[in-house]
Amino acid sequence: MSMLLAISIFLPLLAGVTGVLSPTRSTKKMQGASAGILLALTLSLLTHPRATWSYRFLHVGQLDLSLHLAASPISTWMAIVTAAINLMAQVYSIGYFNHVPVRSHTFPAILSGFTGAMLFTVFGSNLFTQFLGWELMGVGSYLLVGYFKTRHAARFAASQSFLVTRIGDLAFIIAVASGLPSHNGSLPAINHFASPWVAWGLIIAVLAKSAQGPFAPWLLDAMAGPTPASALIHAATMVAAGPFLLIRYFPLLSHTPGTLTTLAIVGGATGVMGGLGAMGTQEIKRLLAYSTVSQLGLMLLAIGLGSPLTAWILLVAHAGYKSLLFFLSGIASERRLASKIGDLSGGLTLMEILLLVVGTLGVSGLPPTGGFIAKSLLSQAASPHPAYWMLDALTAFLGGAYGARLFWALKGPRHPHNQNTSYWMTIPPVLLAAFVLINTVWQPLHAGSLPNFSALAIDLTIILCGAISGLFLAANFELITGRGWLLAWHIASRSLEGIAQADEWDNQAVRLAIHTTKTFSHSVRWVASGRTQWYVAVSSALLVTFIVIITTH
Amino acid sequence: MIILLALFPLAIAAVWLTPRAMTHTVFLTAAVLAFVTTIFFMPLGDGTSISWWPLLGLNIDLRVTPLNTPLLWLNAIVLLSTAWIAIRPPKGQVTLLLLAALGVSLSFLSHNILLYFLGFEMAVLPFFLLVRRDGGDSRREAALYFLGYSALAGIFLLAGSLLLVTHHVTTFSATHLSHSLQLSLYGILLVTWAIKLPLWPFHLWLPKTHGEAPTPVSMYLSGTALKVAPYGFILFTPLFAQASTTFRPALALWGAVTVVMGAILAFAQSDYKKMVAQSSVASMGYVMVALASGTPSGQELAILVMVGHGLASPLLFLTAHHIQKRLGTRNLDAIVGLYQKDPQLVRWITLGAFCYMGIPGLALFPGEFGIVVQTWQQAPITAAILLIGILVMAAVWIRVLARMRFGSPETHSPLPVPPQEWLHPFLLGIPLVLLGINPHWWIQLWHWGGL
Repeated sequence: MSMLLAISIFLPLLAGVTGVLSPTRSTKKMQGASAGILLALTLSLLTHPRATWSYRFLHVGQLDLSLHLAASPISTWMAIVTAAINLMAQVYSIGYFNHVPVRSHTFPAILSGFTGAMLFTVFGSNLFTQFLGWELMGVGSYLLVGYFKTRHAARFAASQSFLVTRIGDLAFIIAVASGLPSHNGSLPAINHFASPWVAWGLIIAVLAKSAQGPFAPWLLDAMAGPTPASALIHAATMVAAGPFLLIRYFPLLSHTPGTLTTLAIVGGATGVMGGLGAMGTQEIKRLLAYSTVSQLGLMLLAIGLGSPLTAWILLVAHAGYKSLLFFLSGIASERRLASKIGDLSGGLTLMEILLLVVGTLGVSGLPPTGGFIAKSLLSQAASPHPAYWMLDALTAFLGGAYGARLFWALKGPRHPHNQNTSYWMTIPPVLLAAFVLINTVWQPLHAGSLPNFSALAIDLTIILCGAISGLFLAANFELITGRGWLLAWHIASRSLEGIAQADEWDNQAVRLAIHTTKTFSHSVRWVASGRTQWYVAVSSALLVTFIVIITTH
Repeated sequence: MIILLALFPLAIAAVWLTPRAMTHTVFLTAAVLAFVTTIFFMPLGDGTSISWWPLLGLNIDLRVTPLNTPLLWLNAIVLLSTAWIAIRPPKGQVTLLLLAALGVSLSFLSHNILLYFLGFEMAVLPFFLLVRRDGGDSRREAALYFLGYSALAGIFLLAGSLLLVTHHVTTFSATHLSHSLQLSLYGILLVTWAIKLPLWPFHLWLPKTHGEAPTPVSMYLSGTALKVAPYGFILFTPLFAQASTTFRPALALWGAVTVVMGAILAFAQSDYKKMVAQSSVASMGYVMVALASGTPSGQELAILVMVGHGLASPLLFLTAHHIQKRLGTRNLDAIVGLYQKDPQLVRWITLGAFCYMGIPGLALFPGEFGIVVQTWQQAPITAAILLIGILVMAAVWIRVLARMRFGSPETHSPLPVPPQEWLHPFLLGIPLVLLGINPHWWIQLWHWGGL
């Protein structure tokens, strides 16, 4: 059933391209329909676990770049998650753009194309294919983050997101180039034997794309994009692609010295930083972005601890509750026409507050949600290593704290002066909340046992302490900002312009040469009548000399 | 093949015999005929050999080979789109462009060394006159730079060709030459390639010329005429294979430095059109890196980049023309918020910009990515320099896009665009995407040559 696989990847890509080329009023519905079909397709791939599809992209000499896609249980489940969140985002954006004064014709199409790019990386079974999806996601995120073209913040955020992730792309190129000699970089071959260059290249690429460590600011500023796009980027594409890729290449990482330690340290530290940042920020979407940075850090920590399965469970659980929270906070922002944490209370109806409770429990890691299972598993995996356990516990504590802060910001009796919102925006949160609850007892691909009781209890206590203290801890500060990258940009552009001054010296040298020639030709008056003639004269003189040589030969 | 070459003089005659109002029609007809001839009537392996001036070794020896077919197709497409967008062109401009097209076709087809030189020169002088005639405010200086540099390149090419002819080598078929002769030839011709490719720091003529040249001239010059020199490199190299082996790593490094410097200089430009021109320098750097590898795959990758660049750069020069028309200036400080005035134009620019950044699915990706990967395996330091070039190139275009795509709406409503102008970019844009999605359609030309 290779066709099925190919169709499920190219359907969203094609839908995206056609939608961007011919934006009409019915685009939203068409893209929504194609998103529904896509979900059905990815679900049906569950029954075809061995589907493959390949295409020779470029073959010259020794160089053989092929696209190779293969369904495997983990790819299919990731694809289902992506397709499901994409469908939710499409449905949500039907209502969302009723209120936003921007022509929304191309937005759903870009969303589709972006999903298609993610599926490329998900199903790709060699480095080159995954790289293609990776790059196209970069383009997609640029277009989505910069969708509100009249906002100054969007301009900076989009440029920053593209350039910062581009740095990681270079590392990915190195990984692809170093991986090609081993069976054209196919996934099993890479996992079996590949140079450390591949492992380190992938790690740097993932740190950049998943906003970890020094690369974190781009994701926070990317909040300038529309809410459905943020939900998709945070939950199931782009940043989620990073941990997913590392899970797939875990065997390679596990036999490359130093990589797992690096991941655990960077992931754990970013987790704590993200949690702290979420306690200081005053904007609801930024709080959610900090939380994403923090939870992605936990996923990397899980991989670094040698437990990719935990990272996977957290990835799926996070997709559910993070998109749920984005959608809910988007509804509150629309109703209250505000984005500051203090101004949002009273934006939600009673039913939506119940959904919010589910989402908050999920993001904090409390029962009965999938987040609880994932966080407990992680805490169990970290328990043998005191240092990592400290990082994990601190992140869990902060997770409880910012969860409580989030809930506090959005709760409250309904405000009398709310704007109306479309019912299209309420459908996705309901479905997602149901998923978050079901996720407690069912995780895709997880047949293992639950964490032991003591791990559960300790984790629960820490999070609850965090939740209680969260209501008092919140402050007003911004921990991670794009200033560093902005400064780097200014320094880089100054120095590039400095180097470009070399052109001026070059120019002076040429002028000097011209001047010398002029002076010289003035002294020899008969060639000084004009430049064209001078040129023709020299050429023909050479030709004549040559003929003379030939004839005398 | 002969039909193609005969077409251009006939078209020039037709331009002068018909009234002024017909000039554009004649130009377009000639371009369509050239397109049809190239694609349908020039199968691979087609060849003609006519003795012309045996004493000099100057014979009309033309061949359609796997290497020149993709470039001939590119030439056909670029000439067609140039002819299509030239609105009310003066007779002189059309004449000179057709003459340049003849020169380009001649040098692509030639298997004879002196005939290649003839074509090379015929592809140079018309541009000098075109820039001087129809250029912008500082056209005299630009034309002088173009001529001065080209003359120097031409003299060295002539010297090299003559040196070969005196040793009874008149065609590009590989022969055995003594090592010292190979070395001197290599050195002489390197000057030509460095100037005409161009390699940094011999590139000054390029942005100056494009800054002043009228749009159709820029499109044709960068689309096709710029490919004559790298193609010459491919032709000449087998003649001094031994000598070239020695200098390969250095040449590749020079190419990589050109990529970075081209990108940096593009970054420093304040004029949109000059920036596009400087970006071309970076692309030609990739071509040099690929050619320096000396492998057949390197050659094919170089041709892929040449074709990709030949589609992308005319497209961006076309957008430069539209920017000038919409805003009255091409200064990068003045383009803020262009999207609000002409969204369609900015979409095309975005496409071209992503192409230059090397995004998959667009024309420059297969070649450039292939070159980086291949170079990484042979010379990691050179590849690392190329990676810096990729990053700087992304910065160059992101800066431009940040200005064009964003900005306050002010009071401008979108300006109406005439339907014909709206269609213009498609002729280059469609092959640009096709080449990016399936480079094999072009590579097939190596194998089956034409339809």
